[in-house]
Amino acid sequence: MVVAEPEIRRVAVVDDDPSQADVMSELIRDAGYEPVILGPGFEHVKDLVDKVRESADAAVCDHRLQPRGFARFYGAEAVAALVKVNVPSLLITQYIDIDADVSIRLWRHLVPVLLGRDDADSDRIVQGLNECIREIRGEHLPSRRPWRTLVQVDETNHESGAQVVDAHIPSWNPHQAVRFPAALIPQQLRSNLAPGICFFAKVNIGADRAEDLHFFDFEPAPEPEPEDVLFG
Amino acid sequence: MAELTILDVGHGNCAILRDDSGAVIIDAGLGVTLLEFLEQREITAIDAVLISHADADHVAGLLTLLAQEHIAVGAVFLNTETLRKTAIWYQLLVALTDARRRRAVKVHAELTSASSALLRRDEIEVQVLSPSPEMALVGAGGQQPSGGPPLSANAMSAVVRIVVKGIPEVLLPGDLDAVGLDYLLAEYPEPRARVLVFPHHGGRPARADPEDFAARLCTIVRAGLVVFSIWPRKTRDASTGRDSRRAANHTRCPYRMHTALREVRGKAAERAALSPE
Repeated sequence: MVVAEPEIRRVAVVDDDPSQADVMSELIRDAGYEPVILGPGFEHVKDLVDKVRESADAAVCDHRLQPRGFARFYGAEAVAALVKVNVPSLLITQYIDIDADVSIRLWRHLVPVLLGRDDADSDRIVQGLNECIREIRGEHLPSRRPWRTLVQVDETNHESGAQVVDAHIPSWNPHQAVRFPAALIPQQLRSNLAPGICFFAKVNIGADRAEDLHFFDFEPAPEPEPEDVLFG
Repeated sequence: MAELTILDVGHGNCAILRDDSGAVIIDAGLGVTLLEFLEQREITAIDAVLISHADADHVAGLLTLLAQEHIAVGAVFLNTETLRKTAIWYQLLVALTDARRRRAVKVHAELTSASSALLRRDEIEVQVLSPSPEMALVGAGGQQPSGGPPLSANAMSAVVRIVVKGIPEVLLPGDLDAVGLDYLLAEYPEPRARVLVFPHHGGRPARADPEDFAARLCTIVRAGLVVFSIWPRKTRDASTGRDSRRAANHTRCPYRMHTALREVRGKAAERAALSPE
């Protein structure tokens, strides 16, 4: 999709912690933008998207928005919705290690940039928003570009009340398992979720870090049959 | 005009031979370097993919290559490794089954010295020097006819040589080790080439001494250029502390050495030239 490059002047700060929102506002100001801190009380993602669009040109969004009642959804879902309507948005969290596998991965294919609190400075914000703009234009960084590839299920588990899949992506790293929410796999394919089952899926296998992997467009892969060649 | 490109896929191997007839890929290591290279060169048809052996750093990229709807792969040649029962072998079978059923990719369950005739091109010979058909029947994990330990996948690596107008240009021996070298020399006593892609990325050649192996191999091949396809931090043999790249550099052959070329992602070509001392 080709869209005009948006001019960014105001950046919405979406954070349930007022002190963190203040810190982020300073960084955004240092980056040359005007920060706009949003208040709490969002029931639905659409409400937040509408508010950002009417008050800013871009957003920096915390992931855990529920604890102080700021919103009833995760920031990753909000960023995904904003990017879908071409609003450059960064996701920021201090819980990458805890949240990357499930609540962030569920939306990661639509979250171009994930920043740890430690990584967030004014330069990274400018860089991140530029990366976001390019991805909205359809220009993926090599680390973000999805390729259709093989995914093999190791096992299924439950985490935070959600069914999760631990799987290998051999073309990315055959020696490291990666966890993702089973909800990424279409319902009709989930009845088949068993250790060893393979799927084809779009995965950004150019990513360096496991937490940056995203998955979508799952399809069933055939199970080799004994009469197939190569089985010996 | 023919061209062979050895891609930097980190600790792994991947080479692409292109000529007027099309393209042949020899091994397909991890990552997206191969896919990006094909896209940059606007290559959407691959005549054949040759897999030296089914270790992930030689075959993992094939799983993704075969899954690309916009790239037509004519045939895949490889030897069975079913005795090894590795995860990557099963994953490869899934990808090959899908490619064969859905996209009519021809899967040749043999890449031996008997395969060379199938790989002949207009001006170029793609020779498979090893293993022999009989060794492929034993297969990786099988018992050596002469006794001793089971054959390793490295020993069974297909050794491919590119010959242009009768001149042996490049030798691509996969992860060939000292055991495999003995079998190779039994069939081809003089596997010479102007360029050698050093086997196993400079890693351990089975139970042989890395320095002895490197000296022996370089003396036999007589290459003028030795290429190491390796992740720079993995140059030392973990078990012995010896470095085959350094060892190769100390032999008396008059060659130059380079790491594989990094041609994609806009980075400058990485040419770590190591002049002989």
